Amino acid sequence: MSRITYFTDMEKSVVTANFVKRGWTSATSDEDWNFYWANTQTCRSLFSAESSYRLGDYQLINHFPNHYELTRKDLMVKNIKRYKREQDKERETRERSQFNLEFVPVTFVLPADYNLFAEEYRRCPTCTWIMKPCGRSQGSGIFLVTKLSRIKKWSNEGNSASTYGRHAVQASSVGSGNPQQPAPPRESYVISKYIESPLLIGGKKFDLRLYVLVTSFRPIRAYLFRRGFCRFCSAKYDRSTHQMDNMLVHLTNVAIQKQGDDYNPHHGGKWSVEDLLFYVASHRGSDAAELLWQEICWVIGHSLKAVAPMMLSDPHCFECYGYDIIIDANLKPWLIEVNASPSLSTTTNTDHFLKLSLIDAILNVVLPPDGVPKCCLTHIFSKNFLYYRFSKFIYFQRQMEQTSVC
Amino acid sequence: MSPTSSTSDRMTVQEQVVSVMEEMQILGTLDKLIAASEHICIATPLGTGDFLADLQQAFRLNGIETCIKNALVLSRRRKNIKEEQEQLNYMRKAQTHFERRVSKALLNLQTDLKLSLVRQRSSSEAQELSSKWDELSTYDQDVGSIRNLYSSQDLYEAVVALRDPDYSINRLEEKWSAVKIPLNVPTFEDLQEFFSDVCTSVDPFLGLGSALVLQGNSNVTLLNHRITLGTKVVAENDILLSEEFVKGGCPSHLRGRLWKQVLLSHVGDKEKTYFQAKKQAVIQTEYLTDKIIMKDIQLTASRDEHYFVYEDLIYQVSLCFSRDPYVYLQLCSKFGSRAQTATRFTPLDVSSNGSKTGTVKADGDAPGGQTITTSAFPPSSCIPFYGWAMYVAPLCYVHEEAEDIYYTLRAMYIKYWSRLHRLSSHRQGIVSLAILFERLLQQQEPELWIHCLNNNIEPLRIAMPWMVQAFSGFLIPEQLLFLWDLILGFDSLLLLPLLAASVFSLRRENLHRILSHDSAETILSDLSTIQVVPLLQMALTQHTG
Repeated sequence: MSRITYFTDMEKSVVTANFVKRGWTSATSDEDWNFYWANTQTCRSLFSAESSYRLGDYQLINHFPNHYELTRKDLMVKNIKRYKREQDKERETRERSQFNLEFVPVTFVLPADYNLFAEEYRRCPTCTWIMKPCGRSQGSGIFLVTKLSRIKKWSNEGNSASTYGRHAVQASSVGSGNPQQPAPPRESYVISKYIESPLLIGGKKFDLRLYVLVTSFRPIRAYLFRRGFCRFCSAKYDRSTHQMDNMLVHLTNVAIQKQGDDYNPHHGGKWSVEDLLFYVASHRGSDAAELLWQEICWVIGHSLKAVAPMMLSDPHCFECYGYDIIIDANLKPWLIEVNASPSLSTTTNTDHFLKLSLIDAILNVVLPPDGVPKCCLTHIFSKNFLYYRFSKFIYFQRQMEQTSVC
Repeated sequence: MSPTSSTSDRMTVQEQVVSVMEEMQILGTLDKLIAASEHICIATPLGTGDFLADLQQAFRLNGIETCIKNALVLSRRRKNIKEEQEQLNYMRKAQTHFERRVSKALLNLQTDLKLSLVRQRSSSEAQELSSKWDELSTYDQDVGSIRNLYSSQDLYEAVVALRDPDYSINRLEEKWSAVKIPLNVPTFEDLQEFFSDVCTSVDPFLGLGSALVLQGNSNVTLLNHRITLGTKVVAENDILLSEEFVKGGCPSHLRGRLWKQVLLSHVGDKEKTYFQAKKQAVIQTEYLTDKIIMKDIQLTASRDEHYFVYEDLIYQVSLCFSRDPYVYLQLCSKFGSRAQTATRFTPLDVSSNGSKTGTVKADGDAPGGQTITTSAFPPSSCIPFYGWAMYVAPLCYVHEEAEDIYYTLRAMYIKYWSRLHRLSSHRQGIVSLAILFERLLQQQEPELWIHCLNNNIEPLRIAMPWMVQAFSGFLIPEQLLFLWDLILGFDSLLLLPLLAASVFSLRRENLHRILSHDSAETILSDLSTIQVVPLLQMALTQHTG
């Protein structure tokens, strides 16, 4: 094995810098690659039934073939609901575990579960709900809903060709006036109960972005990157109805916040998780901070456990997920969604350094000690290796085992 | 506790009682104490034993004894504070000159931008400001053309330019240090003795790592141990005890209450009303320094990735602080009455619409209830400089409410930070700290010092912003608050040059490899990995030479 080659679907400086640092070279068109940093579509097509490509022992790719079981909003909810049912059955006779499995807000898929949703809606007519397209990202197509009539309007727009263009644009436009692509007809949406009292710091809403590396689903081997960050809204949180459509108040995606007037490029609205935990320890006590972090780890752990039976745990694959978590005013973390391709573009210097070290840490975990990509041994690496590469990750496979016992 | 400890003055019990009562009068707690004592006297059952002993026991249980103890400590300290008249002529002249430069810059700014120094806000402006009080970061004040009046670099230039006319420097000395005046500063051995607790305390300091496990009891982490101990200390409300505890590092959520006990910055209803009055003062009148404060916050705290979430709080606290005449009075009594820049502006003829009518009075209430009028500009007499907001920012991790932050800031500023941008010969003034820094570096790292001399690297120029801002904005918040715990616990700013010199020691190998001042600045620009307590321990246990 003379040279190690890599291939990427998109140019990301934080990724290629790490490859070049290891002395790898870019694969030419007639060469086979050792390491492929793919986007999700190419990965799916590579593993699809039509593809004749078989990955060799010395090839690694950065996605699982059916990652959408975790990363599509509707499938994630379906898997977690199923997991909860299974766990509840198991615990019928035994005492409940310490961790409450309600960590995803009540969610329904539309238009399929409309009737179930309507029933739930009537139980709490004053609640706010949030509509999200299943397959999109960066906050596009999201809007808030307080009345059933709004849903009816949306479903009519989606199906009727004449009112399609104009109303759909209005329905999915961002508060700052940036028109989005009109929703294609019959795209499935999920509707979740909106977390109306998120934890506010400085009066602003924020969410957490945490990076989780999974190298295998059977058994589950997952690593949590210590340096997550909070993404803040640039506008103060306001629950009043006239701010319902102002996405600068409600959505924390950087793509949306960047368009706001008060966006500050020096810090980019990003606050480290370290500072967040210090804040919680200072104002609510170190026990509260410790508990919050534990609960966040459990949320991640249970979500992985929920999808593990459905995932094709191909030994050539690993994946780094971007977990979006919101903390409510009672310090309870809620899982909002999981991203298969968390953004690797950088907005500030700190951000750049963080993502650079993220990729570096991923490579350190995924590669064997000699640095040559090799797949079949990823799940039987000696304990020494796993612990040696430990420095930037928390290893919580053992916690997984504990939950299946109790 | 015996009423007479080993201080110089031997007071009779009578005199002590009088001084305690005076102190309580100043603190405003005398009435409450008398009422509580009366209540206890009535409520204590008359047993057949020694009534006096029972009474003393009752007083102890109800915290009365601690109150009296605290008052005694404070009254003794108050008697020991003398007004610090600057003895050295050249220093006094230098400070006056510096102040004049700053006020001139302020007046230039005023004329350049054609703004008034003070003006009443129109009712619509006042209403707008009032409605935006909770999100001042979005209140557009058009501060684009405002310049900061001075920064720590200007202080550096001023310190380095000091010359003692009675002291002639030979050519070698001229090149050796940046600061060329012969002030007496503590030696390294003095520091080792004064801060010996840092190295040899019974419990390890919290800054060493909260997960450390105690010797002899491996079930208890250091953090939990400190929390248990700290909760008891907070309940006692004894100043000396709290100071001693704070030295060892405060657990994060007890820090607010402990600092309040040490700084005497408790917030009651009277304090809250006072703060509201300052807020009204900000809303009603506008000072030119408001714009400077806002610009400073925009450039420092709002851009800092650790503190930007608190920017609205920082705006509120900083603006109210500038309207507080209590600060002016305290600084006057500390530094001597003619010491403040404020006096440059009296008699200052300004009024709401620019015509010259008379001096501006800023009204304020001292906690004791008297009304004060001053003619200081701004009323607190503190002219903001680049980086001033960083004194406020870290306090947002300590307290949640603006009032708490305000009173802690006020106490810390009067006690400590005001010395950091004032040229004086005081042992803990910035001039002495600068000299101490250089001496420490010369003593501990002679090769590094020579290397710097040979390559035109100026270590003091790099360390000055660290010391002037008390490392705020350079260390990460958790470490910074450990440092401020130490400053409060030991009641000394001497840790600042010690920490600065030890950072240089830590990075000495890299520093030896670079050959220009700019590269040195780059190497020393990122202090986010510095751990304060281990570094200070390392510095204090070094052997000289």
